[in-house]
Amino acid sequence: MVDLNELIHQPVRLRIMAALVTLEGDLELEFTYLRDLLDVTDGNLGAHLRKLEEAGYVELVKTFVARKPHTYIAITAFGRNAFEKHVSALEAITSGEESRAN
Amino acid sequence: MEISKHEARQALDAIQNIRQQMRRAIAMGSAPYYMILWGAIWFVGYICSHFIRNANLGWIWLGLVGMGSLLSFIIGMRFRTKMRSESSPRFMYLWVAITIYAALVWWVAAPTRGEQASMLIVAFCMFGYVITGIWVEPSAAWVGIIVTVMAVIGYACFLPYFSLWMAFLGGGTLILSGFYILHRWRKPHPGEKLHG
Repeated sequence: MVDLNELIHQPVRLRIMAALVTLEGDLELEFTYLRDLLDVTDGNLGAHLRKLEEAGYVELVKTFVARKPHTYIAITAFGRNAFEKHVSALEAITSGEESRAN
Repeated sequence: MEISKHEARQALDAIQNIRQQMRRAIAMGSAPYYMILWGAIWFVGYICSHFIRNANLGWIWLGLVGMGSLLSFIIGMRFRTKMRSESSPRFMYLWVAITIYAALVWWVAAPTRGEQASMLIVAFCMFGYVITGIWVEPSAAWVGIIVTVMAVIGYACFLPYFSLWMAFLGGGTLILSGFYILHRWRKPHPGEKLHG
């Protein structure tokens, strides 16, 4: 029996986490860039990011670049670990093990 | 929550697709715009090189390169807001290194003809594309190889028409490649049909 992370498994959150986990080092992604990449609305992305932030999986940093407000998003070590466990669980299911919600 | 093997495979495919998109975006987010810009500059510059053979040509190229550098800076600034990092300017270092080594070779080799100088610049620029392709995005390597091969053929076989050759096949390839990459990256990938 494998443990799936129900919070991460939601399709948009899964793709948010997949995008963020790809960032190397201290790279952070801007909100509108992530929105366009995932092809979702501002409200939809904002709602999913709040849930991930509450879980401690992502960090949101609000700042100004050339006097314009920007929100940058990065994955936390805790979030990276949770995502990797979720991917391992998915891989285990594809190789024949049964799933269980976490 | 229980999911089937098929659902798990779909989720893994979605993860793989978005990660691939991100890797491309990290490395080459602004690359197609640079390709279109410098392809257009090459096109105009080489057309001028073929038809204008006097002292004004140097000023035309200087103006074009100056305009290209300014627009490249603007593109860079525009994409700078998309991602930020204080420790991953790997590609900027690559192009700085290529520029320094190109200047060094230029100083030692001292090309005397316009075609030689052009060939040297093309070779170093396309070397950058090939390295980028080896690192992250194979299509960049193919652009580099194709333009280099075309430049070599033009230099070896059609020297009197080398400028026209480079305008259409060098500049044209860069412009078309830029538009092709933009088009391809905007298309959804197979298996990526997830909606919130």
